[in-house]
Amino acid sequence: MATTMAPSNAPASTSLTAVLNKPIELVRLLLDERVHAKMAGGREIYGKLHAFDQHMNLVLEDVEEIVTSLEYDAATKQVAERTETHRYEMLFVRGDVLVVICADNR
Amino acid sequence: MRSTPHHLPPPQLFYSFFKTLIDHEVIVICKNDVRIRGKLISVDQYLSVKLQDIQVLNAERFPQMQSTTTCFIRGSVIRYIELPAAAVDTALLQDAARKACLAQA
Repeated sequence: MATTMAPSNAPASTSLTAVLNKPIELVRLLLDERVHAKMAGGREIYGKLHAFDQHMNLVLEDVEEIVTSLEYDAATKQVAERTETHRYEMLFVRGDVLVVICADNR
Repeated sequence: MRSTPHHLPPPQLFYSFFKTLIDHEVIVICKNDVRIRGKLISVDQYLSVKLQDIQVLNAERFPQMQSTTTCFIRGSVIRYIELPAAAVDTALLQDAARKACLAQA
């Protein structure tokens, strides 16, 4: 389908919906930008996006990974959140665990 | 019917990319948290990899792998692959990703 949902009176240069026909086009605009990706299992990744494909496999540079997990402390009977941070210079991320990707707005 | 069957992916960007990294040292981080460093010997369309001269980086948690030197890792169990940054042409990658996206749109 070549038709878009954009109102016909919207100027093509300013209408985002006219440029972005498919969701993946938004990811294309994130190329060469710092992105924030949320993954299954409480993992978050910040890094510069260099490549992606239709499976949402990614290649990121200068990556910071933050893993959040819940830990039960038997002594205090409390559940506490624990975060771990890892850094990678260049990282391939397999797309099947990715949930959300957006521009890094920290 | 589509001209390309849905189960046949288009020529894969990441498959070609990993072929350029053959003979480089990578660290594969699996979904079960095993971290394996080794030389990339081969890769297939599912992004399964074969590694040689491997070393398990968290051997205290996974001692059963210590005597292994060569292994095949199924693509679907891989979470991350840490790459040698010097061997990655980022400009070429971005270009290829942009072209692949526009080609399928």
